[in-house]
Amino acid sequence: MTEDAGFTTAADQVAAETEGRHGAVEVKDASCVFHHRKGHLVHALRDVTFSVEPGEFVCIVGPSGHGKTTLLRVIAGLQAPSGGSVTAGGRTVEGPGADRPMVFQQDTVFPWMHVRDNVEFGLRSNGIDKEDRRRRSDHWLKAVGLEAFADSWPKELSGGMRKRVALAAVLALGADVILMDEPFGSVDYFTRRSLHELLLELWAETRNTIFFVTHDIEEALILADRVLLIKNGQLVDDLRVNLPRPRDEDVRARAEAVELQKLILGHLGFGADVADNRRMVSEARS
Amino acid sequence: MAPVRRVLESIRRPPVSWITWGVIIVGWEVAAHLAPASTVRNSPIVPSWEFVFTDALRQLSGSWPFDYWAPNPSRGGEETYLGAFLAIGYHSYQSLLRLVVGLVIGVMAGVGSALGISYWRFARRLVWTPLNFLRMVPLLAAIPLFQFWFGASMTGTTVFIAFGVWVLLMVSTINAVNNVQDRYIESARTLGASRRWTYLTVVVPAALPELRTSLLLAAGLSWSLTVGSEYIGLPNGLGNILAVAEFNTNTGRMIIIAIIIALYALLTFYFLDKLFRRLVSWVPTLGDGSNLSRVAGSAAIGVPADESISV
Repeated sequence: MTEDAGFTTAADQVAAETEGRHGAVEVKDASCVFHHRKGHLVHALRDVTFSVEPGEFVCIVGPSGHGKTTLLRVIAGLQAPSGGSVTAGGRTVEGPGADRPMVFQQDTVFPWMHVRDNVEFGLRSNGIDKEDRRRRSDHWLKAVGLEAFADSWPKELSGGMRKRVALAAVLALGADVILMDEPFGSVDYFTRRSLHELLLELWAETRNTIFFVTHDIEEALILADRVLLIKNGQLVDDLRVNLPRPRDEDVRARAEAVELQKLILGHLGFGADVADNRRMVSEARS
Repeated sequence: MAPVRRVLESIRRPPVSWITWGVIIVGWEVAAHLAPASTVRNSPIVPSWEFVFTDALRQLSGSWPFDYWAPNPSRGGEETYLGAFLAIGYHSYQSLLRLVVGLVIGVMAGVGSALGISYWRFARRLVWTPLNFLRMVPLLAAIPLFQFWFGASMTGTTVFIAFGVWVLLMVSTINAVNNVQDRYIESARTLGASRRWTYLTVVVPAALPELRTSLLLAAGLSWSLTVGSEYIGLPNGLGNILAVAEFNTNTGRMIIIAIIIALYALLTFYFLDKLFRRLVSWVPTLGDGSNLSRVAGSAAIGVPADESISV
């Protein structure tokens, strides 16, 4: 991916050391237990196991408060699992790193840095020289359509534009795994749709492994190769989305798309076959 | 030109606060005429504005310590307005010098040491309780102690002001660092920034905006400390004139000095705020408005400005 743009990154080097498993992520029996301030234990994740092949677009779907973000934070290294393990590119995850950058739900574009400095932040943090940084920031600012705003303050941009800055900052690192925690949850519907198109365009070019947390099933159907369903901290299903791309309204109205949507809703406790799915979840727990 | 335009605008459309000012000035004058006469000629209990800006002002020339440029009343010279203004200038210079040096040292030491300590959570915990205890010490009561240690001099006063500002800014800077939002730190860490680099490039700038109020408070505090220490034991400065005026029970001179100090404090606030706003011009709620660019930005992504802006 980054070779196309004529450069290699620290993340590339890390990935290169992992015997051609760039972008592969393996989560094994990961669990996460928090101590609630009232004394009881909260099981945010319970023995979650799955593996992801390089270049897959994986959406993690589930209701709010059921462990989606915790799972993503465990993969990012921002949260140590209470049990189990996570490996990325063949290496055990022991903390956050440039090989797994993350786009957050909240606005994390640094308001005290100009747009270009934001895009170059990760590069600078990883010791990339000035000339290379400049070339990459030019490339990615153009890719997200913000080349004219390189010298603007973030406060001079709209919410959607700031999301593009965050995206450019992450992509500029050239990492093989990108983590996104409901990144477009705070923007309006139309901006979100344009950001979906942009993300898919860039992904088609870069083919990173993307983990994308969302509670919006429509968003998952537009974006994902694979949907991991998380409920009560458990992985309740791992679904392939074999719909053709681009997944416009017509594609999403097809019978198989509707079936998939019903299946997801059912798993999450909504829809006609709720009882069956509840039974399945209870079996999975036991 | 903007300040001039603002003043002209406020004259054309007087703000409501002008009414309050009018009431205070007229009320004071009425009180001056109603108050019983003092037995001492130079110290009416409530001096009229006319007394304040003629007799009392002229009497300030008694604080001009030199024999040149204006007569020195303490050596038999007459009281003059020139001598009064020279005295105000001389003592203002003394006070401002102490204040600026003390404030700058205090701010640099306070912010610097707090940023240094905040890097280590353990060190932060270590100093927090003693620091809060120090903050509770009534500073004005500590003046004699500082003058005993460092002398009733420029050094003693400067150290005292710097100490007061240091305590205030250290507490507020540690607080500001504590309040930096985790999302910025986590974002930097996932982009590959080391802990030290994150601290320098993320935590420190993110903490800055919260220091604005403390900095303005420190400016006000440093005026109190300057005047307080001059009042208690220094041979010059505005606080010293106040002490002499009190010794002579000259209420008019007290009023003049109070007005001058209030004006200086306002100017200090104004310039510090300007400086600070420039330093953190990136903060969305500060600096020049940017509606135009926001609208331009919205146009660039093809949606109406009102719907897309979420600042």
